[in-house]
Amino acid sequence: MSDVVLEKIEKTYGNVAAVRQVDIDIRPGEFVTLLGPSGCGKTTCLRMVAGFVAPTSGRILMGGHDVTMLPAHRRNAGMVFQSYALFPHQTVAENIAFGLKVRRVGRHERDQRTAEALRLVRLEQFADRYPSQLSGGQKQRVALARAVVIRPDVLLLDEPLGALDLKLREELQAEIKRVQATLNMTTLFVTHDQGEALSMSDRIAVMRDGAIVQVASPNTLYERPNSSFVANFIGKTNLIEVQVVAKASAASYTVKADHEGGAVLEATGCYDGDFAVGERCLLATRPEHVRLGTHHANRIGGSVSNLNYLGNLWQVEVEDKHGVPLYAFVYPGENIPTRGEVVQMSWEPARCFLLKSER
Amino acid sequence: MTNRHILTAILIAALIFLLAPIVVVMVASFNGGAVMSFPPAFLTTRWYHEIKPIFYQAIWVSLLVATGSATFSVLIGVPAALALCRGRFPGRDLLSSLCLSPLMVPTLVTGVALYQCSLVFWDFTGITIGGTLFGIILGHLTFGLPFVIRAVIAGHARFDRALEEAAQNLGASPLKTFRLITIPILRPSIASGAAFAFTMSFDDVPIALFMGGGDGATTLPVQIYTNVQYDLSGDVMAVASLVVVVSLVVITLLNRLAGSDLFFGAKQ
Repeated sequence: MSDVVLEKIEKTYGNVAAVRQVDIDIRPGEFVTLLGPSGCGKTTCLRMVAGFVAPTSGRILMGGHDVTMLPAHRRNAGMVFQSYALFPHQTVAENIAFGLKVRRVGRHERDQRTAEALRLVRLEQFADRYPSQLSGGQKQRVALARAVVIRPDVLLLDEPLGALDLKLREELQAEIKRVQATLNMTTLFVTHDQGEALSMSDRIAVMRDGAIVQVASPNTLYERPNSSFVANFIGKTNLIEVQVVAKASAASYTVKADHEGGAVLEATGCYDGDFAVGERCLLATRPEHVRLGTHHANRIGGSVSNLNYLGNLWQVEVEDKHGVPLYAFVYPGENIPTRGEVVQMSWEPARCFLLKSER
Repeated sequence: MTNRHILTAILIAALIFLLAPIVVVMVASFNGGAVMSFPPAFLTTRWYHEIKPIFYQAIWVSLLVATGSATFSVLIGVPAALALCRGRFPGRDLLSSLCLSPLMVPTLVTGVALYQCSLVFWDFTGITIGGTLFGIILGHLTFGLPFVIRAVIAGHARFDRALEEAAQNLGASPLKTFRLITIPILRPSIASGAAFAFTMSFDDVPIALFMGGGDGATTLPVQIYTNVQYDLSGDVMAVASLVVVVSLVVITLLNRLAGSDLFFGAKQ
């Protein structure tokens, strides 16, 4: 397995920068995800690694070799497309063997590796079917087998689950992860689905407007987002506009809410630089840390404006007259508030942090 | 009467309308009496023995011309269609409709125009195109090409470009990708365009009349046309019947080989 490095990659179309100054270093066997809203440049990045799009500037290295100028068919990258892109005039086995055939792998080895790949995705009995006779999930498993059978330096996944329904998507997630881990395949995955990114990746690079905002493990990204964009894109986050009134240390602040009755709150932790006394910023906390009641030090009151039942929990939306809606989770067995009820929300100071205001 | 009965009646009427002339010709080819009498006075195979050698010559010419014009239509039409589908250049739409426009001009007009062109060409270069096989083939390209281009453009509309990217990603050079992926996937469209080009060429009188002629370049339709003008003998019916039988065999074989979608658009 080789490492893949993107060095200061830029791509501009006319005056429009689609990708700017992207640096990613994918270690051998690592599963890295490019995550972001549509149009953020993540697919363009992937297509540059595949060789379908030439970067305007920067370098791409695979296994230490500069492949920036290499055409797609001379790079050793295996790609899985959102539209499956299975060859309709070839059987499943022929599809999988295609890459080996054009690489002039001998007949014996070709058959053997094709059978192996079919076994890997558990489609042995479908070898002689045509793609039109397969379900969406089976098609994508064939596409996966076809991409890995050539033993690529890097596996490229372009929203491979986008066309599937939820149940299949979860199955395929596990399948892809299993195959990737079995083969210890260096992988670059593109998605706009934060759930997929969180559950599959070793590291996630969150992209916005062509640039990488934060690269971190799923856990770090969720617990310590470095901007309100990341905090909002990965899961749900309560963002409260505040002003710093006192600073005990670089990671311990007292702030006063702009609205929400001017509540005074404590925040421990910040991952987005330093904050000065008097500075306006955002206090962020996840709904799962916010409880109804007054158990914890940070408290804010409001009335319940909405109740959203999600099966395993209720998501309670609480609104102050002037503020933005804040969310708290209420679990089965706890008191379920009614709409319009005036409630207190509270959370631990250790469970919230400060973020710079969006400029 | 139900809808079903009405439909069946319409279907039968259509079949009679389409097949009756062919049946009449085939029956007439076995007619021992006066040529245009129906029903036949008595049956004979005499006309089949009396087919003149010029007809066999003409069938050969027609096959050569039809094969040639279908082949050139594909060789030029497929790249042209791909360029029209994929190219990004000014005037693409205009060029696209220009490529299909010959279908809207009566072939007689095209024939006269081509004849004039060949004369002008002869004036300047001394090279004769009119009255040669090549001349007829060139003339038949005016409708063969549009048929192939149209068929390929239609087939290309359903072509997923990611298939070509997938092939290149798997290590196939652009040329290999074209040969192993693009062409096979477009094959039904190409085949149906070629089949139409062949049939139209085999059928054509006006262009072959102006661009052909003489010993080596008289096609079957022209030969039949010339003959029935002067002498409506039974051997013309025999030749026509032979062509019908051969066409049926060829179409049946093509259907077997390429699937019944050959004449009804590409399958997916």
